[in-house]
Amino acid sequence: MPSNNRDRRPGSKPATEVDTGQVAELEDTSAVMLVSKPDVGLDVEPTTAAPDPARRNRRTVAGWVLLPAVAVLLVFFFYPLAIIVWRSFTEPAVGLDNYSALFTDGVSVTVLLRTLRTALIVGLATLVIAYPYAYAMTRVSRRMRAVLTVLVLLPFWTSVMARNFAWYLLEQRGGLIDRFFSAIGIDGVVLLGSVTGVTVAMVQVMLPFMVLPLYSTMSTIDLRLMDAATSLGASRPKSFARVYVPLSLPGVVSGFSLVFIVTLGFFITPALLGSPQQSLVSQVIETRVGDLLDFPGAGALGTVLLVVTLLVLFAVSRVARPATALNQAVDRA
Amino acid sequence: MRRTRTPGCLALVLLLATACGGSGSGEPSLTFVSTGSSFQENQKIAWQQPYTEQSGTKFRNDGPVDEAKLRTMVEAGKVTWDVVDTSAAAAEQYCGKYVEKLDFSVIDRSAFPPETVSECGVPAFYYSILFMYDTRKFTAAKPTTIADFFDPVRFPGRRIVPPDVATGLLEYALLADGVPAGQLYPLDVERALRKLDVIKPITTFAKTYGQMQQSMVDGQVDLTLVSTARAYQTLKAGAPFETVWDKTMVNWNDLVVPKGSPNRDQAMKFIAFASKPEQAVKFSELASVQSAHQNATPKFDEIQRRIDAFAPEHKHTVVLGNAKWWAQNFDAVTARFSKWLAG
Repeated sequence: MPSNNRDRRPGSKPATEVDTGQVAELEDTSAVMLVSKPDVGLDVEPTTAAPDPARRNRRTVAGWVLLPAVAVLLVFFFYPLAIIVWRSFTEPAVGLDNYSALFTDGVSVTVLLRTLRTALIVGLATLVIAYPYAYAMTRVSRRMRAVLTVLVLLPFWTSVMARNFAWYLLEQRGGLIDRFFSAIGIDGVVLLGSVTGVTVAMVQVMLPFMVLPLYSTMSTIDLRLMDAATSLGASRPKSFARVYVPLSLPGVVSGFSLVFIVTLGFFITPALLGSPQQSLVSQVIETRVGDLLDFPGAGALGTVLLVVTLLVLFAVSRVARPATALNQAVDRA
Repeated sequence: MRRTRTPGCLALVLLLATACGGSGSGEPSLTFVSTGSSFQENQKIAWQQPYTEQSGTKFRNDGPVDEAKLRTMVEAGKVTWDVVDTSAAAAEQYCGKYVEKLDFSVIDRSAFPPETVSECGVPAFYYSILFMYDTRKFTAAKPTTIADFFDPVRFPGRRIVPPDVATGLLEYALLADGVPAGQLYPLDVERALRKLDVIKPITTFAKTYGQMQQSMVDGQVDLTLVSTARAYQTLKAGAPFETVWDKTMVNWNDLVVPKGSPNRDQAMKFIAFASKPEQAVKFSELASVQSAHQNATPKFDEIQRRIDAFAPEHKHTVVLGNAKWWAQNFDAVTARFSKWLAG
């Protein structure tokens, strides 16, 4: 089905964030020939130029410009974080007591696994929904693309609280979901207070975090590569699976890791829509701080969460690199 | 080195800003902390406004009561709260450590039952946790004893229980399990949790009292253990709930002064004022809680009389909570309970 010239994209555009207009304009001017040498990438030649004083000067300026951001991070992120981690190792006594307690108290591990599972499901579900959506965004007319973008961004711009309360109403007893299932003969579908209810709402809340990175990657994929694959004898599905999907992987990985990590620590949705019986890590941390005044214990749990997040980021960086490299290699070819 | 000092400076600036906001133009002023919503409004009307008229002391209201915040404030030596409405168990537990001992030369403790008075607290009001059910749901067989709350076979339906474990949930489980009211304490926590296991999947463990009220009005729950003040609001809104008068857990709140409060003496005088019969009665009429003075009787309206555990026809059901036991065991029980809950 995707075969109009209008739809073809020039290769290797710089990976823009969420651009629609500019990309669309660029695409009209080029992209007529089936296979062409990519024209972008030649105007920037970072490796050939020797380091000159102007460049070094620019770098110093860049350093100064970064200073406020670094200062804010140090004061409001690293400093409190360091205290939390420090207290988790030193209170009430110096040692690993708070950490060994996590593995022996019979609940922290359960909650951690539940949280990881939820984050995984939310990540996969958003991916399944967002992939075709983002793909469609790259294939439709400019006007339609604007509509699709707004459809993603509008809920994104709406307060998380408002969206969660909307889900509260939908999921409660006698809410829309309950009534819908009653109408088709299944009684008592009250998602409120269950992990399922939390997951469904989180998928909706997290969807833009998946669509946007996917779209930004997909809009840089040269669709003529698929035509090239077809011309060399691959079927349409095969060329999609072998050419398009690998090229979209950086978007998949960054979208998935973004959703996964945010979901791991998401507080509002599980707090509003979940229940203490099915609590996730963020709720348990809140209970420890608010009810038990167990700052070191909460700190230990928070540190474990941080480590898990860093591990995920590390794994992502390992996976993402080959994919990016592949993309660039294809661009150069 | 400079960087580590920056947050301290920022904190100082913030502190100064709060201090300015609090103390105004040199007039005596107190920061009063309670649960917010209409409940705190009623405390303003019953306690603060008449006291301001009498003494000129102005009030700044803050909330919600957060014991972690209280503790952090005291530990950091930056106390901005003067009077806090908190549970008797917390007052007892933190006595001398995070809250000041009361000045009984100012406050008259003779008006309260001796077992409710501690060094750091006298009752500000009593509240009960009522077992109520939705009359639309149970038309044929109606719940009659507390055991019915823990019987999902005879009485199926969604339950809701208060956010605080120390208000009577474990006590109710034990009473339902056959423990006599006189032998509740020390609580057999494991036995109570085993009883609660039965209803855990069909129970909402509320996060706030407001959630309880909303769930009842919206018809989200069929059986509740609900505080008097919220029961009143629910019935006033027309929700068809009926009380089961079998056993009724009654606890009380204290007004406490955080340790190191800058206005300690003023705070003591205010607590003395708020615990006078006239103020206690006025507040209980407004908020539908029981008067801190059991002999001073408030004039309740028809709905309030229906849920008044201290009314002559209900008084035999009252089981008074044991703040001393809770003070000693609150942390351990809360840890155990939250583990049970999340597991």
